[in-house]
Amino acid sequence: MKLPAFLTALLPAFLHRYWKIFTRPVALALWIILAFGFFSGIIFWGGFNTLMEASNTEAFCTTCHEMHDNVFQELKTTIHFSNRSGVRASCPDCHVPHEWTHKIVRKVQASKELWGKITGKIDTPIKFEEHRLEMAKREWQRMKENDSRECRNCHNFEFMDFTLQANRAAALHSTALASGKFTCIDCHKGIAHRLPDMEGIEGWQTERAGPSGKNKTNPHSQ
Amino acid sequence: MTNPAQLIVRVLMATTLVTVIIAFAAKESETETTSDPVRVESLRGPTPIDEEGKPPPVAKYPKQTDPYPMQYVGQPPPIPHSIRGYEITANSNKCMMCHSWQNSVRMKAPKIGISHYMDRDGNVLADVAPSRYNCTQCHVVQANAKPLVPNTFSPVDSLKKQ
Repeated sequence: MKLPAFLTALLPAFLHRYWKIFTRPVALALWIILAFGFFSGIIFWGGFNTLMEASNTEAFCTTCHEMHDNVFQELKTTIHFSNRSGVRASCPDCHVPHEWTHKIVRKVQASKELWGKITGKIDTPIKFEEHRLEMAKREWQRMKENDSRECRNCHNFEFMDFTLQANRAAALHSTALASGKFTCIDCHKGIAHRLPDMEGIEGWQTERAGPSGKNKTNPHSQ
Repeated sequence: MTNPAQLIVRVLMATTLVTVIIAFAAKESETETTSDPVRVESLRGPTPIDEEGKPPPVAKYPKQTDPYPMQYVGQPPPIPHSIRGYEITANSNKCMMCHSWQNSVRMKAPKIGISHYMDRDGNVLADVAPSRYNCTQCHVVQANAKPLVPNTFSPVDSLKKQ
């Protein structure tokens, strides 16, 4: 492509020279640039996804003692860790979306957890227990908003056989869940980890009967 | 010659002596019979202490069964369904999701007894009494299990026949 005549007169000579180089580059240079871009793209993209997958394993999650000593130990006793048929859900199966775009969003959000790790927000069992409700609520909210998407990666409602379920499970799955009014997490809280204090949580109306003495005597009964 | 009074005293003394001797002899024979080695079996059974016992098979609970008939008045009803993974802690009580008075109607589940809302002095509380909070202390998952020890229990109906 030639520079218009009026511009040739207007522009300084060195710009004129560069224009020539960029409009008519050596053919080989073009291929070198393309090849470089292609291979660095593979390396970058592959490396990125490999790193992301590496950070998406149970082994990676449990390298932090916060996860290993608390939630991972709790998971071990549940059906999602060990069961008759040997299928296992590991940490990211439930806590990281499987679909790529959602996964990236969650991964970016998770960078906040690195800050928590550095500042030692939950680095003792007591501190962990203090924040258990806050953390659990965040996960319940996330699950509720995405209609328990991570549950449904394995548990597909379409393929449920109500006749094989216990009567009370079938009764609720065929009504509350089928209508879309309720999602998995509404009932199935604490299936993989110990629960926080559930006072005031929807569906868990019973008050704590522990030593906190919240069970006040009804003054009208006497 | 001895007079009758002395005779009576002598006879009495002799009988006392004989009674005491018999009593001692009986006690002697009694201790002899119980001095045999007592055969008490611990949970590990007759396995010698230096051997590894064979554990009994793990108990299997049915996922869901019809409720068994009650055996006596005031019996804590056994649980006719699996409770695997149900958490009963100071933080939460999974059973109450269906069996509390707030949830039982909606969940079509039996409501826990009114006694569970009273403390031991009979005061009615706003929620489950702490003394009744630990469900599995009295209620167990029902299973057609053999009695661990022999017993002569018979259901309360047997009283009517007497």
